[in-house]
Amino acid sequence: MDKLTHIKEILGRFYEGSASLQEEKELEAYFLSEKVPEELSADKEFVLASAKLMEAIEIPDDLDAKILDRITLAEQSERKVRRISVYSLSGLAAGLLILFSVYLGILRENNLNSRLDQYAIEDPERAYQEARKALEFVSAKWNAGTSELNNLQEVNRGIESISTINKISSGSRELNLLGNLKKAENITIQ
Amino acid sequence: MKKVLITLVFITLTGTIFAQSAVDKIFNKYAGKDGYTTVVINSFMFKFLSKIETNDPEYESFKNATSGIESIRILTQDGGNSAGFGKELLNILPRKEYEELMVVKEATEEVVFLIKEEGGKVREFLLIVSSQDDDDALIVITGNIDLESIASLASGLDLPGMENLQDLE
Repeated sequence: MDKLTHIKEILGRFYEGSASLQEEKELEAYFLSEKVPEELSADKEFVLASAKLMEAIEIPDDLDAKILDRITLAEQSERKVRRISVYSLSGLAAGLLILFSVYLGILRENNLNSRLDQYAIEDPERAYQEARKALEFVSAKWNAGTSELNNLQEVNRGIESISTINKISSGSRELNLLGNLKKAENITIQ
Repeated sequence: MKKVLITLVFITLTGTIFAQSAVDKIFNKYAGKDGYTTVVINSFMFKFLSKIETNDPEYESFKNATSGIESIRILTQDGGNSAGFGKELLNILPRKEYEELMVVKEATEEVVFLIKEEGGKVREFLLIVSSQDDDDALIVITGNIDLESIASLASGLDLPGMENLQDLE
């Protein structure tokens, strides 16, 4: 197998990505040192550029660990973002709910007020008459109730008078007793 | 969790603030219905009436009595056949929210006086009449209600009975 065929084989593996590091070095050495046929000039440029690029990139020893760290960090931040977004959403929903209930409340109050506004009296004289009439009505009903209480008070007064008479009567009874005692005393002396 | 609790409390409070009172519900239900009469005298009208200057002593006592009143709302059922309405009024109005001032029960009529107090002042006065013979009625007076001056107004208007309100103080 001549040199050119050998190089072509390695090139094939190089493009497939299965060339070993040594083969890649061999290719690089070939394209740097020897006169390269015209048909391989494009491959020469590519191989040398790749080699240069590989030299420029330094692969640190702890690359795997760093990549894993980054992945873990990314996952954590993603979880955090998700949690924050859930909180934000619930907060937003609660806020909207409050606004909605306030809106409903205002709407309902306004609705009732506007409904009742149509019955509001706009003529001051009629308003005065209606207010007076309402108070008269309240008064009449109030009076009907309290008159019963007044009757009870009258009964109470009567009971008080009877108890006063009772006191007088018990006082006179005591005087009678005293009179009887006096009489008995006189009889004993005689 | 704390935020959720605060939010729930806020929602509850909001609901409470805007919850319709029983009186509002009654007016909402019956105002404008056939067979019912609704009369509303609002705070604007009372302010207006309080600015009218006159030498009439009756009107002056009316002004004194209504100086703190914000509104009078009247709902009556016309036609005399209104036992159901009056009973509904007595059932709907939550007695726990109001203090019972007086209840007068007669054979054909029940009259209930309710008040709502705030800071030792009467803020709402309700008169409910449930009658078998006469029209049922609900009168709601709101504002800073001075029962004593209403009583003096009644005597000024020569209305018997209102002077008894003075005994409440």
